[in-house]
Order: sequence, then structure tokens, then C-alpha cells
Amino acid sequence: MELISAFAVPIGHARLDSSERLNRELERLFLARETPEYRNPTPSHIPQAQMFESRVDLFNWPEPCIQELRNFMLESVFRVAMAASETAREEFARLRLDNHTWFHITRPTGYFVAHNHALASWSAVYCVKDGTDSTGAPCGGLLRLFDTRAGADAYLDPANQRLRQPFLVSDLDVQLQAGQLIVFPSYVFHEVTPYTGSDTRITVASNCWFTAQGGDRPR
Amino acid sequence: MNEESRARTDSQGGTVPLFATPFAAVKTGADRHFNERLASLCELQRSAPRLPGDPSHDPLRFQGREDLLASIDTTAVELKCLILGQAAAVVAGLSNIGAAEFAKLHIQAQGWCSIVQRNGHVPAQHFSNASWLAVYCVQAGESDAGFNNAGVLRLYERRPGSMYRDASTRELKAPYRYGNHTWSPLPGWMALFPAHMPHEVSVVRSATALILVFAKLRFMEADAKDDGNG
Repeated sequence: MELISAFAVPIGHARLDSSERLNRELERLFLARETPEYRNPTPSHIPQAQMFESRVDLFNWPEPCIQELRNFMLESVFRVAMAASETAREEFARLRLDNHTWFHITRPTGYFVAHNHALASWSAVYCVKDGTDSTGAPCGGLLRLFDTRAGADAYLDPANQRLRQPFLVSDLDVQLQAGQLIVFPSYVFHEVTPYTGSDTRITVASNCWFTAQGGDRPR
Repeated sequence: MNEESRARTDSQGGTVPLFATPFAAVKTGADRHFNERLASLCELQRSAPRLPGDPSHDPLRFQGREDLLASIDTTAVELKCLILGQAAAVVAGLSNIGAAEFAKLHIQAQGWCSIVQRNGHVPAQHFSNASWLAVYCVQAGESDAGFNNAGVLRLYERRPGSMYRDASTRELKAPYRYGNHTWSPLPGWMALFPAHMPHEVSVVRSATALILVFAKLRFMEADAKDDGNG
């Protein structure tokens, strides 16, 4: 008897080495631009006072810290997409990676409701500042990726209620730490749970899609 | 011609919602005095000493034991009658089982209260081994000015087909539109929907605590027995 995993969801994790300097620069820049001029004028969800969402052209900013982050994030997305694909490396190298990228500044009790991202293939979230205090006590702000098999656990019996990975039906809670990046398919519904710390939580999110060089853009 | 075949015939020439999820909001008729008694009962649970096996809770949300509807307390018994009666009426209307047959079904219920303070919330949840979830609102306050969708029951959109959208599908009308569904709890009202549906109660932004009773329900035939071949 062979047991295989089907319908798997690729999730990529990466960590930016020695990210402290970059994160300090990003934090300073984002806090300075937490202004109406840089606010997303067309938010997809009802905005909250406790969460600032920037415009989606972040990676077009010329500041070196932004470009450094851009390289890290898009390179990581590229690697994850390539690792999950049967497309040959040389073909992949000819694709263009487009993105919408923005930053979030979350203050106490801020959160983001469950959603996914239409018209994108890969989503990535980088943590600039996790908002935890020195004690490391739980402070919410979890990135929760919802299991794509919604309803699959509607019926449980004693034999299937303790399935092991990768078969367990369960949401994935990620407590991002500063310098950490997660990449996942844009179809995965996800949310950010209420941030209960007393500081600020800062993240950068990106929606990405690939196009053939010179080909039609799907958007 | 039964309901199903009639619907099938009717659908030949029209547009119908397929694979629809029932969501009912019911004004139960419970009055203020009943809700005050129920709120006191919930608060009593909160102030009682914690027992082994009690659900853990965060400081902004108390979740009571799951035996609320098994209590012999007069108010709890009334609540059980209220929830089961309203739920049965809704579900009977959704079923092809005849009224006489439906009335013979036995309802199993497991209920608990949640008391959510300002800035608290009920995190994403859904339930196994139950067909319906009833959410009865005992108490709700006015949200502070400037807060939209505070303290609402939010059912999550889970149709992945929403990933591709164009100009024609971006602004679909209900019931075809994509997106989460929210319901604002009001005292004396009850929501009912399939228990497997993922949902949450968003952050409460009012001075008055939000008090809800959740009840998992399943309808059993009176002579239900294991008909497996094991």
C-alpha cells in the first residue's frame, strides 16, 4: 500500500539574514509616509483606523531600502514558483514577474478580514516589525492561512480526527517575525487576526503574477 | 411533480442560484426581560469558579461551558425551546421531508455562551459533526462612532472560482456576488447556517459587551441507529 499526498498547497518560507538595518530603515520610511498621500485610494476592504494600508506601487519607489526588499521578496517568489512548477528553469527565466506591493502598519486591535487575491498567482508577506514585546508574550497579529479543503472536516469519526500532516485538515497560523517572509498561492484565503500588542506591527505584502515577455498581460 | 423536479424544469428557462448556502436571520420574539435573565445567567457562568475542562479564554472574551442547553435552569430551558423551535421551523422549510415526518425528528443541541468585551472578538471557527449552527444574540451595544462592521457575525467566502474576475463579474448582484457575508446581531434575533461554514465575530467596539449563545444542532430520526456493516 502506498500513501501519497494529493491537492497539496505550496508554502514558501524564507528569512532575510541580518535584516535589522533594513527593517529599521523600512520602519522609519513607512512611518513617515503613513499619510493621506500614500494611503491606498481604492482599498479592497473597509479601512480601519487601526490599520494603515499604502498604495500598491511600493516597489516602484526608488529608495535603496525598498529596492533591497524588492529584490529579496521577488527573488523568493520566483524561487517558490519555480520550485512548485514543472516549467523548465530556462523557460521560467524568460517570464516577467509583475506585482502589486504595499505596506501595512497595524496598531493595537487592528486586523484584516479573511480574503484572497483575485488575478494574482502568488502572494507574499514580509515582516518588518512583529510588534512583540521583550517578554515574547502572545500579541495576536497572526497570519492565518485557511485550509483550502473547507468543509472536509464536517464529519469526523474517531479514526480521522487526528490525521497527521500533510493530511490534517486545519488552518495554518503563522506568527511572523521580523525578517521573515512567507509565500503562498493567492487563491488561499487568509486573514490577520487582531493585533493585541501595544506597539506597531509592520508588514509588506505583495501580489505577483507572471507574464510571458512581450505577451498579453492577464490583467 | 416534486419540488426538486419543478425547480429543475423551471431552471430550463431562467437563471437560478446553484449550490446555495442557506443563511437565516430570525426575529425570535424573545423580549427584553428574557434577554436580561439570559444575560445574568451568562454572567453567572463567567463569575463561577473555573472547572477542569473549561474552555480557555482570553481576557476580552469569555466562552462558557458547552452544557448551557443541558442546564435545568428555567431560563436555559426556555432558551433551548426557543432555539430548537426556531431552528426546526427554518430547516423544515428547507427540506423535502414532509412536515409530519420532520416533526418526528429529534434535535440534539450543544450550546455555550460567549461574552465579548470591547476590543475582543470570536476567532475563526467552524464545527464538525453538526448540521446547523444557531447564533442567538442576548445583548449587543451600539458601536463607537467611526467603526464599521464591528461586532458582526462574518461568514467567510470560500469559493475559489472568485480568483478570476473581469469587468462583468466584479460587481455581481446577490446571491451571485463574491465576498464575505456579515450579519449584525441584535438582541432577540438568531442566525442559523450550516455548522461547517467558517465564521468569526469581528472585534467589538462598544462599551456594552456582546453576549451570544452558539448552539450546534443535529436532527436525528427517533429510531436512528448505526447501520454500518462493521
